Amino acid sequence: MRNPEDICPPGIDDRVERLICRCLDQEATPEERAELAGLLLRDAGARRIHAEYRRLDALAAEALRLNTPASGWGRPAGGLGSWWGRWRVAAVGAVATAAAVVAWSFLPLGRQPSNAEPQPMARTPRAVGPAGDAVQITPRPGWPVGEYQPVDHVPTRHLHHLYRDVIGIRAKDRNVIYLIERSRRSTTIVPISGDL
Amino acid sequence: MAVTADAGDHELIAAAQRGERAALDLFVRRHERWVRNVVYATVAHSSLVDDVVQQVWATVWEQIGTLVDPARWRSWLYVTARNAAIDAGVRMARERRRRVPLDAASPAIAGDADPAAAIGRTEQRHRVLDAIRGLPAIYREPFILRHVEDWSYAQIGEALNLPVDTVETRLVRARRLLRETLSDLVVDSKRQAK
Repeated sequence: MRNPEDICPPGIDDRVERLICRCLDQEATPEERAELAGLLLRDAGARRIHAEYRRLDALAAEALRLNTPASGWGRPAGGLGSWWGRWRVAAVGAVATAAAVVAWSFLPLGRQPSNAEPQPMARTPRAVGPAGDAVQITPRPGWPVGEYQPVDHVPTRHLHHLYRDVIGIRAKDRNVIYLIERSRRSTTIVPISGDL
Repeated sequence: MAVTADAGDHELIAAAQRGERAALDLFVRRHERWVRNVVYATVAHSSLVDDVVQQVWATVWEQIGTLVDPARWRSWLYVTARNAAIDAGVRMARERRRRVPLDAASPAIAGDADPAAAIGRTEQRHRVLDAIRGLPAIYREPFILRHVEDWSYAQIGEALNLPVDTVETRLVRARRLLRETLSDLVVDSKRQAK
């Protein structure tokens, strides 16, 4: 590609070209706009470059603007539009599923005493507790505890390899449920919290 | 205290840094459009945009605590978006698993009364995009920011850490280069206008 300093449009000087660009970019002062208006009336070269740059800008704007709907992050808040709204619906469904599998939580294996210290949740999908206290969880020994990541944060190509299911409800705090999450790389227990 | 919809960007960032997810939601809604366009302008394929933009916001949420000077959020967000897009483009080039799709214009072709004209518009759009992507980065970046969201020179300068005069000079030179590359399109339009 050539050096742009060597390809100044023919027939106009550098200052006029700048003036045209400033006007097209809505950066010109009223005086500069008046000056350009006068120039365009009497200078064919300025008219030509002004028309060409205006056409160029229209082509570029059309080409660069992506006319596809925004992803979940950009949708209006509330209802099913926001990521939390959609996840809340999923969480309600998860609780219903939990009722069916809650017996599993009370199997002897599930009630083994835990030696693990309670750990603060790394990052929950919403603020927890009026004082901002993190939820304390007690993972079963031997299971890695993962960090909850809303599905909106998981790239689409990874969703195909992600499996989540409810495995139980903590007795002391019913606003916390555990998910078991399997991906190609690992299997983890993921706590989530909310108004469940 | 929860932030409100009329909170300034700095307030939203400060709240997000305290862990208020609602503040980040507001911030995302406010700025998603230009972030998407920056990503699109960089990765060239609309099929990648959603994934990359999600990665951008995930990165923002993870790293917003590292933003020492919230006044420079625009530059920080721009660099985050651009880097994510560049990474995605590199990965895609490495994979080389599929051909370039007809992109977002394909549905328009399917439902267009004049498919030939629609294809022509699509080709023209791709040509313009290719020309923009072929610009040296120092000219391409301000040009994209100016045209995807009509940013002022001051806003572009803030995002790219450049003086306003430099932004202006680079935009003039970007137009020069594009005018030369796309001269047939520009001349065509002039003839049509006559």
